[in-house]
Amino acid sequence: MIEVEKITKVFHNGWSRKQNQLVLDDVSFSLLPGKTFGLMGRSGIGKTTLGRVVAGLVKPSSGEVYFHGKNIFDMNRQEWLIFRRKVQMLFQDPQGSLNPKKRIENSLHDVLNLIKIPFNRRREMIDDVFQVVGLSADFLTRYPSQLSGGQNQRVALARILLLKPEYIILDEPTSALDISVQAQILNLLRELQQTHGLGYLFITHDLEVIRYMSHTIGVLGNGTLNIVKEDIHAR
Amino acid sequence: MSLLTIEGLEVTFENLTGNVRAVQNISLQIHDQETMALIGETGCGKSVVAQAILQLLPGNARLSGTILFNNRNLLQLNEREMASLRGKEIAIIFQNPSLALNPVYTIGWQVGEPFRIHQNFDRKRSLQEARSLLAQMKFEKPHSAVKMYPFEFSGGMNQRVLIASALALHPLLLIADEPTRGLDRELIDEIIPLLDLSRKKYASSLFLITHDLTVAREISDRISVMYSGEIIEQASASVFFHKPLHPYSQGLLGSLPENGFHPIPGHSPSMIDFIAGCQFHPRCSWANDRCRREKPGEYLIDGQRVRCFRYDRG
Amino acid sequence: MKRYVLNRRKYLWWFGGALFLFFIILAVFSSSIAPYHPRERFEPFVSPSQKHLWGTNDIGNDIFSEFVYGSRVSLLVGLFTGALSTSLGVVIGLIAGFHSGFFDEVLMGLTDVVLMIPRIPLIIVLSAFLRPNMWLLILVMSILWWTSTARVIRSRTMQIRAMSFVESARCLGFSNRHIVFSEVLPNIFMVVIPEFLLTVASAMISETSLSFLGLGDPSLKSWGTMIHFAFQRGGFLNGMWWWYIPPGLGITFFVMSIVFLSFSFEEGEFELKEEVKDVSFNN
Repeated sequence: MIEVEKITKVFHNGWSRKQNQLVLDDVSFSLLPGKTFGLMGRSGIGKTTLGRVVAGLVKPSSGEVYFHGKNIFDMNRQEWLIFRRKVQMLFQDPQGSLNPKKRIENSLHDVLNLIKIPFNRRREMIDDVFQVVGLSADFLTRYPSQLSGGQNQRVALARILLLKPEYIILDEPTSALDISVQAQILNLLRELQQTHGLGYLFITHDLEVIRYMSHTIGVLGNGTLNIVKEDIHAR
Repeated sequence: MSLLTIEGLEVTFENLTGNVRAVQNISLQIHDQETMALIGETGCGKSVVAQAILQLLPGNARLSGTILFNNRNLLQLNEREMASLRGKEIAIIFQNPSLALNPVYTIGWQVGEPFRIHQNFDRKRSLQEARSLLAQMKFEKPHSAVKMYPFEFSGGMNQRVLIASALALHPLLLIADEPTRGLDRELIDEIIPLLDLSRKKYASSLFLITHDLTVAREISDRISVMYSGEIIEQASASVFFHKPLHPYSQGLLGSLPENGFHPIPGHSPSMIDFIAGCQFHPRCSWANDRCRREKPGEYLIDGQRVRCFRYDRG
Repeated sequence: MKRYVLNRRKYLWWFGGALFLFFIILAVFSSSIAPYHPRERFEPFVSPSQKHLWGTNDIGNDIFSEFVYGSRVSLLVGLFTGALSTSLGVVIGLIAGFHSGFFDEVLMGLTDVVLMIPRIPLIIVLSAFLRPNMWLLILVMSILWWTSTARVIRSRTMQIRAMSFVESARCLGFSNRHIVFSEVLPNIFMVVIPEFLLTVASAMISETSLSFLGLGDPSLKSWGTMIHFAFQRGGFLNGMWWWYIPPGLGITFFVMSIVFLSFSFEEGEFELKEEVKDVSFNN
């Protein structure tokens, strides 16, 4: 379980106090395994910033994020490495998540190198994860620019799944995709949640999408988070 | 009355690795005083059609077919003739509004540009016209807006600026290439009605190119659906959204949020993939042997055109 | 429009490349190409003749041989300075661009200070106190010439760092070291090459200029030295153009070929992208 407690984030846009921007103000919520917390709000309101704080990529001005009971900003190296693997983030821009100069297979092998998977098991793992996200093996030798937005998002997901995460923070994962491809990716994400028990923080500005994906919905406005719907079962 | 008639348009790109057929045998008509939506996914070639009309394609593009506009075949005009057409008789708005505007010139300067180029207005007068245009685009303070720079405006505001600039000279045809890509639902709801109203007031017809069916539904009179370089269905908007004929069209409507986000299996072919027979058959639940071998022609069913063997009554 | 760019790049590449190759062959195979050893003495002040293609200089060395061997000096000084200063510039640029804040401020401050140092005058002053020597020249130039590279690399690194795939890499758990070498570096590579080439060109011109002023390494005969002696020993006054025109043209064309190559690389960045993807997916 991930508990987000009283996160406040101030952006200092200059030297004077007047230029400070209070983006997040005392925000608290939880992420549960196998459930989706939908984070809604207008563009630019700070949803991405909150996502990045929960992912541990940005330090808040105050507040804590507890992963399995331990504050992520106060972990030792061991605990941090585990957190880093278990909590992942999927970004909005499908063309940007992958290094444009690397072939898809190289991007995947990088991750396998990182978690020190022996060579003889790699092919199998890649095949497995590609099957789960619905990609064929001939995409491996291509460059990201040769794949469509939807396909690139699948590759990004595949890469994340190699780490066997527990939680994924999804920052507008389908906003840049065509409506028909959006349906595919959303359904894939729901399937994955079922089969792998993943917890999601789903960030979006789209009302229909958030209703389709979330168990609990929170709306971010003026820095504060309002939880509007808890534990929706009817979907 | 047909304003724009595209007949048998084919666009092929010549690359180092071979030729790529982006658009195959497209025929469609845009009438006076109507909004025609060209619906399709990224990579189906719809932007290529828009760019072909205005001859904005890169140097390695080979075109064949005819594009008749006001009884002139646009594909046969030279660059100078096309340049006098662009902005004046046919205007275009592209996807990313912030990129389409020059960051070092003020909004007023850029909106006034069509007046200076095509009608030889001087700076003062073109600025005046720009101010009135911005007022009509629902900008609250046009006097200060004209002095501002693109980076000071949001994406939605910049898009309105571009619409203003495109409609400045009351073009006969306005082409909008994915005008709502990347915008919030809220913004889309602001811009689309504005686009519709503006077109009715200042231009004659709108050629709306988009992947977003809800946007198309809101303001179009007629729909054309494009898949993998071909037009596979054409109908009036009301008929189309009520009863789409082509399996792909049906799939598209099924993936809408209001219909439950039902995805179409498989993925759209990229321009370099080669598929025999009907382009859609690998993803079609109805596909039979004929679909795998032969390319379907266009069939006419009660005013609707479909490119699918299912409707072959012959 | 695209057609024109495509062709121009080809012309720059072929012309620049051919010319560059010509000089490289000259430098590498000097001993086979030059008819005599550059220090072998014959009758001085001979005009171009069958025996001496470009005549002889004031102490009787065959000018053509001097010219051929002179290409080596220019090439060596250029390449070494290029390699050292580009490496230095890349390291500084990468660190400054990747770790903004304190490191960035300090390194950019350092860059500004180094930029203020007048290059050629400094070398002249140093030559007054130390014996002019090719390696010293290379060392001093390397310490001064890295600034433009550092700035360009820093810029590019900051651009890359803002891209999602770098954030993705951080999120997946890659170390900073991996990110810099494996994610960022391949994306700045295409920018490094033109910088390297231009540094080489600049170093070559500087070496020639300094040698012309008489501050070059006297034990080596560079083109600049040739022109220097032509000037000093009456070559100009006596209209012995075969003495000073060849080395002048030599340095001009050698540098030009390098600059053309670097231009073709800059345009080449776009070309590579076209080849990597068959056609843009968003058409």
